Amino acid sequence: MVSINVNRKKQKGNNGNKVPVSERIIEFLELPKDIVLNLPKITMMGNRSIIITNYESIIEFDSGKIKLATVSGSLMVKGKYLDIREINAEEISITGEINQLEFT
Amino acid sequence: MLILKLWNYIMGYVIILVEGNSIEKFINICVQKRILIWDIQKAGPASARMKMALKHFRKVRAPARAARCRVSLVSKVGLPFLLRRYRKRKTFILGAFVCLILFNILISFIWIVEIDGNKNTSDEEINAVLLKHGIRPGILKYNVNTDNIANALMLEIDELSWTGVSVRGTKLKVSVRERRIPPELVDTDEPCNIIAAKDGMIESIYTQKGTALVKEGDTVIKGQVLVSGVLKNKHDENDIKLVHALAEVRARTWYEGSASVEDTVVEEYRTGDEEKLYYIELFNRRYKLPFQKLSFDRYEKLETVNRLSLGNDLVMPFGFITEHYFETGTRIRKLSEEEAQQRAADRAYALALDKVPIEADIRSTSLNYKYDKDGKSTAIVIIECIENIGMKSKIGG
Repeated sequence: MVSINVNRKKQKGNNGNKVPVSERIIEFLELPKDIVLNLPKITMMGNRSIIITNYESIIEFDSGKIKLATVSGSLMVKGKYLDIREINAEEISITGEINQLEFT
Repeated sequence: MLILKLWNYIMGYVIILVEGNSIEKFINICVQKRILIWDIQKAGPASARMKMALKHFRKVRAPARAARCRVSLVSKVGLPFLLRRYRKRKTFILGAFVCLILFNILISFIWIVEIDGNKNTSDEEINAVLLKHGIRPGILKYNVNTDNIANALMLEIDELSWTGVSVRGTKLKVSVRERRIPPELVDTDEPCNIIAAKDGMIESIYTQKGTALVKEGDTVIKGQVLVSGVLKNKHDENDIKLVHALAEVRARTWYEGSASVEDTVVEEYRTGDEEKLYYIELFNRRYKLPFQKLSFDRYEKLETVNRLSLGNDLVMPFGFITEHYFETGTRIRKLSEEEAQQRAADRAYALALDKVPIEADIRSTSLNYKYDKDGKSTAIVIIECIENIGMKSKIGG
């Protein structure tokens, strides 16, 4: 029982925040995470357009919701009248009325 | 971006309708295969409309099959489709090309020479000089040296003080300004008198230098010395000094014109008969259309020229000319007393006015009729003016 207490004391930061070690090193070295780790970069212009760089593929496509697969999990864009304005291997640009962004 | 839209239009694209259950898969495969698609809109639970680059359209069969979707063409947009439509009309394009070349050739010549600004110099005079330097309708634009022509005109015609020559469209525009002949000046060092240039009655005299010999109210005749340049010393008769007299002498002058009163007048009138003749103009030559003849002996002519032109300056040497002829005749009309007197008065006034110099101020006009023993009358118009009558004249002649 004594060993468990020692372990608990060693944990630092927000409880339960599992940031992997590799990411911590990259953050320390201030390298761009989207290029090194392929994390998606999300740019929004109000609630009218959203550009996601570094996505992997489209899982679902509907005028009310678009679900994308990314390194950080699946990203769901919920809204109304959603269109895909431009799409290529690196980037996807969605326009319409955007209500919600959800990572799962 | 506009430039992107333009580029897509130039390269051509198709609008397709994709129907199926896994449209997402279709899009993923298209992206993977680098098929350019954009403006993707869902048009129902199992259909989507999108735009695809024309050159990638043929690659769409594999993704469609893999995603189990049906692809149908909605419309074709872009320049390639336009060109395809005209592929069958090669002669049309050739014709358009030839037309453009011909047009350019026609534009490279001067067809019209326009002269403006000349009042005392006649158009023929200017045209003669132009002709001497090889400028006439029908020459190539590019050989014309506007500076040379402008200089030549100024050198050869004395009255011009400025010339401007420019080529605009198919017109050669010549603009001139005439000079006023400067008065003969006497050197300010030379002593001179001021004498009367014409008869008159002195209205005002203002002497700057010299001795005034006349005063207000004096009547003077032409040549009379008004202000003397000889200054005499009042006390010593032998001490005289000669100066360049300066004075402004304004006097009343009169100009007369007379015309006899006629009770009949010969005038031309239009009989009412009209005829039109039509011509075609080609390269500044007129060709009368056939089966036309003028049957009048006396007439008045009105000419209307219609030339093919693009705007004001690009005039082509092709035109259509209409000559409108009004037959005229002469008749002798008897005038009423007032009409006859009025006509004589007008004529007399015109004659008097002709004599009045430009610088004179007209003060009043008087009209009188003189009757002689035969009963005929003459209208006499006298115009009274005030003007500067001083003129410099060297002492000693």
